Amino acid sequence: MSAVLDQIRQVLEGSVDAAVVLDSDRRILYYNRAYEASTGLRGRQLAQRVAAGDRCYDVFPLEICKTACLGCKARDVGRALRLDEIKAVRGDGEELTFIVAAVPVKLDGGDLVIIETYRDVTADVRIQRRLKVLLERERRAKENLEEVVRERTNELRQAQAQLVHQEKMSSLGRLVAGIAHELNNPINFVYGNVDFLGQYMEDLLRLVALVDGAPLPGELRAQFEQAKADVEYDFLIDDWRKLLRSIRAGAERTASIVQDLKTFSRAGGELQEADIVAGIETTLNLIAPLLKNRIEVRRRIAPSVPRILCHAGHVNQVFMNILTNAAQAIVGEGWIEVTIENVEDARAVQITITDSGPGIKPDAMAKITDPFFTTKDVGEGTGLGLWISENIVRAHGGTLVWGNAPVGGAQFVVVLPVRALDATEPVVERAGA
Amino acid sequence: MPERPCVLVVDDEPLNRDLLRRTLKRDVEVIEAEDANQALEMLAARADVALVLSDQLMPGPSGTELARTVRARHPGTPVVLMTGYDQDPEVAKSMTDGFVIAIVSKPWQAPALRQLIARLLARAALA
Ligand SMILES: Nc1ncnc2c1ncn2[C@@H]1O[C@H](COP(=O)(O)OP(=O)(O)OP(=O)(O)O)[C@@H](O)[C@H]1O
Ligand SMILES: [Mg+2]
Repeated sequence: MSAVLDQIRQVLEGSVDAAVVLDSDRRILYYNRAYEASTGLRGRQLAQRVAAGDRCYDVFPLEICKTACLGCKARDVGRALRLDEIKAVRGDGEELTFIVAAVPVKLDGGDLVIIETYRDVTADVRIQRRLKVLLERERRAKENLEEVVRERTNELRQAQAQLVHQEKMSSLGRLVAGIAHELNNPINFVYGNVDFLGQYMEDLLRLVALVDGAPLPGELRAQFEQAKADVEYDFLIDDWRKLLRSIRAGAERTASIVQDLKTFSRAGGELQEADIVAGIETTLNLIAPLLKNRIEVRRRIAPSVPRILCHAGHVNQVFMNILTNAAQAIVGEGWIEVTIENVEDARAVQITITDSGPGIKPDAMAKITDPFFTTKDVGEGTGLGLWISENIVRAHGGTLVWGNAPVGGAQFVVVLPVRALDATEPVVERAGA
Repeated sequence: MPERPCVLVVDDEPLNRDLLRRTLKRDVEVIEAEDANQALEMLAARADVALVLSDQLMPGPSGTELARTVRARHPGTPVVLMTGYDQDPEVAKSMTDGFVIAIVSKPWQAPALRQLIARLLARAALA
């Protein structure tokens, strides 16, 4: 035996890595104790097979032996090679993982031998794999947590936005109610006093008629006739009634607007039978500055629309939102058509609002009732109008559908049952919470 | 029953008082107070006030507060409230608590108000 080989044996003998020295034919010239353990063969058995000249790939078959023998490659390239994570199945069937290294060594006689070492990393690999699983699990948990946080944040944002919007609507309500109240006294002055004015006029004219019918001395008669001509008496006795009528009509109209405003601003709270048609008229009055001279409002209203049991203030918000959107969608001149009809055997009222704007963009169609969805500029829209509207309509047991009309732009259809809320709780409060 | 019952009108708005005087003067004797405190003084001075007709919102005590005091000091004198808020919970409560016998919501119409006051006075006279 070569001196070099002998040295090699001494080095390998106590190594924790399994090691063999192979001749060029891959017969085993030497193996260490660790190799014995790796093969899973008992000492005698192994010794016999080695003595019988069994090749290394039969004694201890690695997955690369048949296809890509590392030792052969090392021999061919003339230097040490190494491969990680090579699998082998031990005699007892257990699958192991090794780091394999092969070193070609020239002996003193000129013969070439290959030293192969096998480091068992099965346990390391297993630990690594476990670690990976744990890390993956941890990562997923974190992702989940992030998801939950995102969801909660969203919910909070929505709740907050709803509060802000509600606050906005209720301060609008308070403002309107305040104005309505402030107008009550002055309207009362006009309204209440106009009758007395009429009465006084009647009294005065009766006096005048009395004088007129009396036999006056000639000079006084002439003076009287002159005065009558000066004040255009004949015109006056005709016109004063008209005048009074128009004052009364003005006061009455103002009073009815104030009444509408009071109804409009009535917030949530108790259920009431509300006149939808009047509600929409009031809304149109309130958004008049948006429509002025630019948008024609067409009305197609069924002859007898039943009153609806609802939270009038909330339902008015729905029309406010839809009509405002319609007015905002129309650039320049255009029209808005409001159709109100009785449906479902007069058990529900259907309100259809169509505008002449550009319509809802196809990619926005499914999203317009999502909270915060808006195509308007920052500051112009918060994207809450339709979301809140849909909630209110739902809470009333109704439906809100939309699309683009064959003629014109967007179309929104609200159906409200006449008495749906009779049996149910006032869900609106919850929708708004 | 006195010839012309006396009605005390309480309102901080002079134009409203004028209007109420104009509306009621044919049926009753109208005396005026511009707030609740003045009204209470006048009630203490005159025992023959048949009815108090008060605005709800005034500087100082409100109409409902006045009504409560009137009930305590002059239980025989009914109070009618005039209000623009037909949904004011305080007003509604004063009605159910019995301090106030009627509510007139603004704007009111002269004939209806005259009828109401006449009816209430007739009832008060019978009581
Ligand atoms: N009549 C309409 N025509 C075209 N698009 C519309 C119409 N109504 C609504 N939309 C679209 O739906 C989106 C959402 O409407 P929504 O009323 O919910 O919010 P917004 O009007 O943008 O903002 P906000 O109402 O909060 O001021 C609008 O930004 C717009 O893109
Ligand atoms: Mg909107």
